[in-house]
Amino acid sequence: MLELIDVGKTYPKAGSNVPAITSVTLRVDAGEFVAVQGPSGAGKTTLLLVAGALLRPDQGTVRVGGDDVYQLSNEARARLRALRIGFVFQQFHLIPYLSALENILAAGVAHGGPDLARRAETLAEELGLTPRRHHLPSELSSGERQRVALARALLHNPSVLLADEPTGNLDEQNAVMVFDRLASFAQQDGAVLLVTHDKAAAGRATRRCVLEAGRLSEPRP
Amino acid sequence: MSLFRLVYREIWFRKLGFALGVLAVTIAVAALAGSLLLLNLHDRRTEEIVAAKETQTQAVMAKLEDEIRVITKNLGFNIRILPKDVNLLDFFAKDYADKYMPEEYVDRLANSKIVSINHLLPILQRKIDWPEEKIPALLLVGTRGEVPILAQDKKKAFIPAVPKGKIVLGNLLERGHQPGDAVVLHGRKFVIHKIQPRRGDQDDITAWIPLADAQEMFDKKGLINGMLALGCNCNADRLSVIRQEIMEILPETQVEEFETKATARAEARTKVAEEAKAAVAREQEHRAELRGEKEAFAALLVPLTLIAACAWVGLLAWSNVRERRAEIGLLRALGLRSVQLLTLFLSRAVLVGVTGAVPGLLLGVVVAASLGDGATAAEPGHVIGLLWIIVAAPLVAVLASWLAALSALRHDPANILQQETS
Repeated sequence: MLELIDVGKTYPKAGSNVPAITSVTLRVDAGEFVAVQGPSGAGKTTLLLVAGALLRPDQGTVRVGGDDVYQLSNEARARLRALRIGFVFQQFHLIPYLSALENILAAGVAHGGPDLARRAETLAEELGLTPRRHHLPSELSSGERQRVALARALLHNPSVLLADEPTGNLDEQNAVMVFDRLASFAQQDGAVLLVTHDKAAAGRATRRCVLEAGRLSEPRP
Repeated sequence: MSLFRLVYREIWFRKLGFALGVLAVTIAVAALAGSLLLLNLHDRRTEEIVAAKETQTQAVMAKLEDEIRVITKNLGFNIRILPKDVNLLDFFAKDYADKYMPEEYVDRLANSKIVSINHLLPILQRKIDWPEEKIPALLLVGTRGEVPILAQDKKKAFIPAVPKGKIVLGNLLERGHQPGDAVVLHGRKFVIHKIQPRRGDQDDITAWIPLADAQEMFDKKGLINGMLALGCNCNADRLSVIRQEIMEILPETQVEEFETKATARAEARTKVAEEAKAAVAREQEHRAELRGEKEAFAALLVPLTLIAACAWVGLLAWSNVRERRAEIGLLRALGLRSVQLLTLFLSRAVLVGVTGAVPGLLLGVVVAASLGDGATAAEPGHVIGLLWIIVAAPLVAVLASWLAALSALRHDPANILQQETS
C-alpha cells in the first residue's frame, strides 16, 4: 500500500547538506497501523511529508498503491494526495473561517466526489461532532478540532492515512478516541503511518519502528 | 464544497481587508468615471453655449439684414448703369442722363449669369417742373419695379413697381395732398399712392410713376436712361468686377458707383457678422482652454488614483496571501492544484474589482453631475459607454493581485507544514 525504498532527504544548511532521513525503507500494507517513534529532530515529519507526496526525496522511491509517487506529474500527484492519502497533523490545520462541517468538506475542494456532504455528516456523527458541526474552529476544543481534522482526512476514504503527532495537543480521553479511529481505519484495510515521539502512543500501533538521526530501525518483538 | 464557496467564506471572514480593497477600487473608478464624465459634460455644455451664441448671432444678423434693407432702400442703390455716351459732367449737373438705351438691356442683364449685382431697377428719369402744383423743379422717375435676376435666388424686392395710374411723391411734393388724392402732372391724371417720409435728400423732391407712363410722357417708348443696382458685397476690387461683368453683357453702357454709404453699411454688416463669428470662436477657444485645464487635472488625478489603488489592492492581496500561508500549505496537502490556488486568489481580486467598480461608477456619475458645469445631463450613450469600467476594474484588480497570487503558488507546502508543526 505504502512503500518507501531506500529514501533519503537532506536539507542545505550553512553551506553543507544536513541529512534528515537516510536510506529509509519501510512498507505499510493495507490493514497495518505502523508507528515510527523517535525524538524531536529525528526526521519524523520529513519522513511523513516524503511519504505523503509533499516533499521530493533526494534518493529512493516512494510508492502508494503501486504508483511511483515522484514519477507522477504535479497534477497527478496532487490528485493522488487528494484521493488516496489522508493527513492528520498535530496543529490540526483547520481553516479558520469554515465551520467544522465545512472544514471536513474542504478535503473535497480539490477533487469533488459523489455524496461528500452526506459522508461528511456521517463522519461528524461518528466522531461526535454533530452538535458542533456549525461552529468555527476557534469555538471548538482541541479534541474537537483534531476530530474535525481526522474526519477531513477520512472524507475521500483514502488508502493511506499519515498522522504526525495527532495526539500531541490532546487530553487522554481525546487521544484514545483518535487512536481508536486510526486503528479502526487500519482494520478496514487502510494503511496508517503514525509518527510520534511518544512511546506510549507508538504502543497503540500494530507495528513499531524507531527513527533516530534519520535512520529507521525496527526493534525485535 | 466549491472553490467559490471558499472564496465567499474567506471574504466574509476577513471583511475589513476586502472592504479596504473595494474602497480603493471605488475611489479609482470614481476618479476615472467622474473625470471622463466631467469632460463629456464640459463638451456638452460647450455645444450648448456655442449653439446659443450662434442662434443669438443669427437673430442679430437677421435683424441687421432687415435694417440694411431699410437703410439701403433709403439711401438708394450704389451702382448706376448709364448709356455709354452719357457725359458724366452733364449727368451730375442735371441729375439725369440725356442719352437713352433700350429697355431690353435690363432684361438682357437680368437673364444673364451675372452675380456681382443685385436688385436691378430700370428707370427713365428727367428733371421737370410741375405747373399744376406750381413746383418749379422735381425729379420724375419712371420705374417698372425691380427685375428679378435669373442667376440668383429671388431676393426681397427693394422697391416694388408703382401701380398703373398711381404716383409716389417725395415728402416736399405733397402740397397738402393725401394718399388717394388725384393730381394732374403735365395734363396726366395720377392718384397719389404714397407720400414718402422726409429723407433730407433728393428723394424729397422726387416723384415716381410707372415706367410706361414716363416713356409716354417723354416720348421715349421702349427706352430708359439708367439702371440702378446694388453692387455685390465682395472684398475684392468690387467696381472693376462689376464693370467687367456688365461690359461683357452690355458693351454699350458705362457703370458708376455713386453711393458709397450703402457699401459702407453693407461692409459694416459683414464686419458685424465677422465679429459675431469671432465671438463664437473666442468662446470656443475659451471653452477649449477650460477643457485643457480639466484634462490636465484628470491626466494627473486618474493615473495617480489608479496607481495608488493598484498598489493598495496588490499590497492587500500580498497581505492576504501571507495571512493564509498555513491554509495554502493545507490546501496543497489536500490536493489543490496550482490553477485552483490561482483561481482562489484571483477570484477574490475579481470580486474586489466588481464590488468596487459599481459604487465607484455611481459615485463618479454623482460627482460629475454635481460639478457638471451647468450642463443638463451627460449623453446617455456616454454613461452607458462607461460600463466598460465595470469590466476593466476586475481585470486591473486581477493584474494588481497577480504577483501576490503567484507568490501563493511558490509557497512550498512541505516547508509550511514543517514550520507549522515544529
